[in-house]
Amino acid sequence: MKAGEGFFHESADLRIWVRKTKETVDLFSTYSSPQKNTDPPTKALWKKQFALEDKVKVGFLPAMPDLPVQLTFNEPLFIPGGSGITFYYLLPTWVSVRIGKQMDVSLGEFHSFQLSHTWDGNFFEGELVYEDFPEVFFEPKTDSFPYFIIVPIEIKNKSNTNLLVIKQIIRVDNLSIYNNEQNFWANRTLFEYGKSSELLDVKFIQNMPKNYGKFTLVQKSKSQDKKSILTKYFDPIKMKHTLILPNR
Amino acid sequence: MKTSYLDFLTKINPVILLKAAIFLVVGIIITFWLGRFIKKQVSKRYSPHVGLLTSRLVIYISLALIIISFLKTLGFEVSALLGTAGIIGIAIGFASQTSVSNIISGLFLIGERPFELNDIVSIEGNTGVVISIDLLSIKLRTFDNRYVRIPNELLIKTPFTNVTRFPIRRIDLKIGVAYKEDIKKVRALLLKIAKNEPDCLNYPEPMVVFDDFGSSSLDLLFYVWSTKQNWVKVKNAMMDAIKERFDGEGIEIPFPHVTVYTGSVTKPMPIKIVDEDAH
Repeated sequence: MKAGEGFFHESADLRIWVRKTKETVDLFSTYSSPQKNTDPPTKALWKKQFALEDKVKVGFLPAMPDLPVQLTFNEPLFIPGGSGITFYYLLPTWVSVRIGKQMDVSLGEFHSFQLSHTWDGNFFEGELVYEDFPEVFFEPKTDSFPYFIIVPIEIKNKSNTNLLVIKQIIRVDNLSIYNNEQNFWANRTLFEYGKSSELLDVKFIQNMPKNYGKFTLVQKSKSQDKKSILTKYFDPIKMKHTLILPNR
Repeated sequence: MKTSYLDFLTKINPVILLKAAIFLVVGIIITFWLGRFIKKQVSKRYSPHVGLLTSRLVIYISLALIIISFLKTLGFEVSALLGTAGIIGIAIGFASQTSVSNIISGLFLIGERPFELNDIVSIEGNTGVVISIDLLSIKLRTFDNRYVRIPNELLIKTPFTNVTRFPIRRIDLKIGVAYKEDIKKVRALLLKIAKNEPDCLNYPEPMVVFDDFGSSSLDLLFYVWSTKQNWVKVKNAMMDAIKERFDGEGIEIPFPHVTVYTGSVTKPMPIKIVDEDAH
């Protein structure tokens, strides 16, 4: 992009304009229903990034939300003791605007669809997360979902007790984004419900499934935890309201 | 007395005096540098509150040791001096009970830690951000940018509120609707408004309580939750959205009405239109 040139990007309700001036790269974003007019508003408040180069590469990449996402299932998932399930969830994607030769300078990240906030914890401590009410499916659909990331989730119930999962928090900052023909995918999250106690172990599986074609890495995970994060991110108190034991 | 003091000064070796002076200056510089370093490191590891207190403690102790060493280098009898200082200290202590009380209260507050730096506290009509916690007092910066000094003794004696102690806060909205309105509809609409505001927390769940049959309205209490950082933003957003949605749905927000009633026997009060053009 040279001085005087501009770019326009639209993702669901999100509209982003990027323009190059002699010394800066300017960005303006807004939310509105899709419109034919792709010109920036005359009173746009541009965010300026200093860039002395004559030519600048600009990219719009998919990004994970800036907070973990709590899935609240409309239909709770029943997992008998000693079994497991794998399901797929469509995570509303964010758009990362990047510049530079290596696309390493971020001008900002913006949501395509807005999710509402909820509180994971109690009145004294906890953390802010997004809440989504997903419709899960058990085979990845072949349709194209341009504003979503397919997130595979596996829950293994290693205990002898049946589980009824009504809520589940996904640490999206631990997931990478891959491009697979028509859709973006995240790597798999594995939740293992403990044998002897009610503890939950969480692992991020780096390998992508082999039977769905070629996967190209688009965005590395923001956090690089690959092993179990049980002790770091989860504690039994948080899990009490996440997993509910049936047969009561 | 003057003569003995001069005598004492003339007796001091200039080299020793220079050494002591250098020791004093360098010691003070190092002490304050050390204080800043400790404050930075401890704040990073624990909290700004602990960082500030630790650095102050280190600075006070170091300065006391430097001054004692300085005096000792000059040839003062430090033990006698300390004894005298102790006696003087007790005398001053008795004379300034309020200050001592503030210091002791300050120590209790340090132990109890009811607030930290940058917390928002409210005490006796003063609400502001805690910008300094000292031995005698804490300092607040109020939201209209006033500097308020609150003695530690007052904090021990008086109930005060730490507004930002917990990560989430409830926003209480008092809403009045006209007697003709359907409460179920109003309740459902309010909950929908909360659901549509992204920064309003889904959990703890928003709640509508039918509070009172007011003098001119049905009074409802609408409770929503937000993070402490978003409190003002969510409150404004909710108030705007309620007014907008109520106007859109034709729900009346009444203001106090006065009906003049002259009794069942008397005739209604006559109303005469004076100027028809005005209507």
